[in-house]
This record gives sequence, C-alpha cells and structure tokens, in this order.
Amino acid sequence: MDSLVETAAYISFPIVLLFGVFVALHGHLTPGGGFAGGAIIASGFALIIVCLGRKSEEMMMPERELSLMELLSGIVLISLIIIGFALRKYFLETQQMFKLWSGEYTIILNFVCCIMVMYALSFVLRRYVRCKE
Amino acid sequence: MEKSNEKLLKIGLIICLFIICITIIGNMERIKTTKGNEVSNFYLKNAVLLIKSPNAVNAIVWEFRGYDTLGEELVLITATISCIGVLITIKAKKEKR
Repeated sequence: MDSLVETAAYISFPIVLLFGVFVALHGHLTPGGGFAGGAIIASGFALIIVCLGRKSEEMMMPERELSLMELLSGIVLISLIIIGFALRKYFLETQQMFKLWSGEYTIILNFVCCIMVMYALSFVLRRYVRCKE
Repeated sequence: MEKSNEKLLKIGLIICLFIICITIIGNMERIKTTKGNEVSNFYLKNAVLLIKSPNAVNAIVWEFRGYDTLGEELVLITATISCIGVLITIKAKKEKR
C-alpha cells in the first residue's frame, strides 16, 4: 500500500481501539455497550487488514491466542450471567450513582461481551480474507 | 420442477408478508395508547432505582432480560463457528481444483 495510507492507519488504529474500550466501559452511563464497543474494535482490525495487509494483522493477534481468548470470554460471560444474581448485593454496596463504578455488575458483563464480540468478528473477518486469496 | 418450486416460494412469501401486515395494523392502537405496555413503565422507573444505571437500555439488556442476552451470545458464538466452518470448506474446495 501507499505510505500515506499506512501512516494514517498507524495513527488512527490506537484511537479506534481507545474509542471502542470507552464505549464498552461507559455502556451503563452513555449510549453504547458491549456489542457496539466490540464491533468498533473489530472495525479497527478490519482497517489494519485493508491498509497493512493480512500478515501484519496476524502478527498482532496470533491464531492460537485468538481462539483461546474467544473461548475464555464466552465461558466467563455465560457463567457470569448464570451466577450473576447471587453477586448482586456485594456490588451494590460499594457503588455510587453516575460514577464509572455503578450499574451493578453490568460494567463487567459489558467489558467481557466487548472482548467476545471483538474476537468473534475479527476471527470471521480473518477467515474470510484468507478464503478470498 | 424448479419453476413450480419458485412459484410456491413466492406465494409463501406473499402470505407471510400479508400476515405480518395484518398483525402490525391490528396492534397499532395498542402501541399508541401504551395500554398493554405496563412493563415498559416499570423498566423506566426502576432502571435508576434498582440497578443504578442511567442508561435504561443497558439495564434492560443485562439485568431485566439477562437470560435473553445469554441466548443472544450463544447465537453469536454459533454463527461464528458455522461461518468459520463454511469458509474452511470453501477454501479446501478451491485448493482441490
């Protein structure tokens, strides 16, 4: 690719990552949530694939690590939803309204969901690119 | 054989659209008056009081309807797995040729 495009991708990729994490972590205070944040981060990886090529994206996230994290985050999310109702009172005691640490355990669920959606979407994207070559 | 199948498909689609239109038109008044929507008032009032979350959408998605979201996540995982399976078989067929 052109060096101009590569430089633009290098500069904008961390900003996209930061914005995705912000949307996921502030899901209970502002519009957004885990799904939206994960999709934003996955679109950042799509930017890397388009501008810098498939191999530089694979260097960032190795295949083995990707599938392991997907599996782990899925298991954590499902178990948190199932046992979450027992954890409710421990969270509510320390939380303050309109602060980051509020909204029961939705903040943890949002973050784990963000990780899961990000890995799932980037996994599909990478397989698609590899299939099209 | 194939043409008759297409005709059947079109007739089925038209019937489905017709049923959807009838249900939407029939429930229009209920949507306007919020008579059967007491649960929405409950969600809006208690999202801040019980969950301490100003974003009511997030409170509904993760708290009031948590098990619904659990199913949604399972759908996402299943879709990812099936997508990867389809793409792997396509690539294997390409390499055989």
